[in-house]
Amino acid sequence: MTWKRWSYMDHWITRTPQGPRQPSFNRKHTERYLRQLEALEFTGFDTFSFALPVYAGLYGSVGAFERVLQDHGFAGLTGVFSAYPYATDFAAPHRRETHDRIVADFERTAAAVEGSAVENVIVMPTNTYFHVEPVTDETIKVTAELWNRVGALLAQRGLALGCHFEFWGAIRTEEELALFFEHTDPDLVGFFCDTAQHTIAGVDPLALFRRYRERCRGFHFKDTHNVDDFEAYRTPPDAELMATGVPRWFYEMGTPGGLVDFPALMREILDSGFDGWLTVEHDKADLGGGDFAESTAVAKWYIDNVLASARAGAAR
Amino acid sequence: MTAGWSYALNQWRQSPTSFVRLEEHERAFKTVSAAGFRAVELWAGTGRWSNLGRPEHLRLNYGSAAGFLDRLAECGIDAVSSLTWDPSAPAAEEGFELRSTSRPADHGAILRAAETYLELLSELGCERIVVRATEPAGRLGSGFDAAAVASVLDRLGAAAQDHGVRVAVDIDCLSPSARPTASRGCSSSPTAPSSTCRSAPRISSWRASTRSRSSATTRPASGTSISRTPTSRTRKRATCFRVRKSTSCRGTRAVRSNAGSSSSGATPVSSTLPLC
Repeated sequence: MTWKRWSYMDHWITRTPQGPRQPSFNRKHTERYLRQLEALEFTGFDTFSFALPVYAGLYGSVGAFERVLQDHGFAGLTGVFSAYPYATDFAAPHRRETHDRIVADFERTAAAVEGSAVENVIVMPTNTYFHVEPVTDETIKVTAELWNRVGALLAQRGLALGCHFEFWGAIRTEEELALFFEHTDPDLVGFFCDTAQHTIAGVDPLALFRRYRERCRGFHFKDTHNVDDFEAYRTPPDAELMATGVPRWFYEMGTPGGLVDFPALMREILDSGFDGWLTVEHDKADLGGGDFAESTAVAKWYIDNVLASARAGAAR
Repeated sequence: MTAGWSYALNQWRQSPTSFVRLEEHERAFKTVSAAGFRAVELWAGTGRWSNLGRPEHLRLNYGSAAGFLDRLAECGIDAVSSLTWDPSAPAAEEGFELRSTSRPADHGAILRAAETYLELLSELGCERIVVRATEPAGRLGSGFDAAAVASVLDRLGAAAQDHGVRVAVDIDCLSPSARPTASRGCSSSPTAPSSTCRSAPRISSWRASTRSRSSATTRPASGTSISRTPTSRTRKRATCFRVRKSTSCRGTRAVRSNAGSSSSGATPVSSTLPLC
């Protein structure tokens, strides 16, 4: 099996004369970045909503940037990620008074990608856990109300909403996930499976995919070496970078000690008939002296040499 | 006059996810201390990874402003000399609005945002906030209004004074106020303090003026002072040595490196030249 729809999540950091920077530092670095992804045969490109004006500024418009992507063999922009890590007076999904403001943000995001190849708008549905706690059924239901609204708005514009849960977010356990999905419309609010985040939270991403297959909009394929069994998810001000004893949570596929069973997940995906994008994500690959280009190449080697041998019908 | 040297910590911010863990902070404080600096300059930011750049995050990390000072002291640092802040930079904590000092409708939000920092600086015993005068000319387009900029900086200076903090205005090479037309616009403003107007000359003319700095920099009544873009000569030094020295009339002085100065890498090396 050779899966054709691999996309890349836009986390890359590169060396510049001014130190490590995002490639959108300038066109030269963006070109080098895209060539490296092209060489590794990625054909989808996911980025952040806050990066859209950056790329538009660099190339004249989002459409012009997408044409650059297409010149490098991509189908185009394929996904946009938005998040509100902190609860503020302006954005707190568990507080109804902020919902209008958040919906307006997604009106702008949808307008920014109109006419592009974007299929998925991926969101972090909650703020960080310590800003929401106590997490209750009520906070989850109010959060579900918001994403039903956003999902409806996006559906009218031909976009799918995928909810991407973090191990440090305010919906993280199987029970919380189930309550959230129970109160959201499956046609409007999708599931976006981040393999590492769920694993860290102690939830099996393969089991989640089996359970929410019908509403799964995509994946972030990344690995971890640690399960959070010491309430690191409550670490203020940030659990991803400041947890005691775990300076780095995320790794590319194919490292020793990786906890995610990617071959099993791949077989499950093939069995399911899922035909969306599979997205490689390297979040903070530079920690501890890592390198995004190398991490991406190692992941691609894993795709070509391990996942490519997965066969449908062998999942169970 | 007793002078001390301060070092700006923005150098350690090499990427969006770097310089977040407390052990990284500690190494930076010790490095600064070992190099003979007695104070540090903070810089404002946004989000969970700018945890020395947001007052609420700094308090979360260190318990309180006093806790932060204690940690600095343990590493051999006596004080926080200053904090740099760009009012036009969007911050999630403030609704991600693209504010402009040239737009009077934004001034209330700018002053409210400043209050958060001024409270922290007061708690830290820090005497100076370094404020970027305007957004880059490329973002501002034709909307530059020197009188409006002067007005909000003057109000900011007054608000700062209430907290025992002084405002130093940072004008960099991307600023529209670095153009001769900006200087004209400023001088025609009935509200602009004369010292703020004098921040507008082109770099070449400022190079001349630095030779007799006292005539070019006078402190306005509000406590606003001027921070200059470095001359090409000093910028070259900064590039070579990664730091640039500044002069100060009293207290501590900040030295900033151009490494890690902004996400775009576009912010030039600059330093504060407080008035005396």
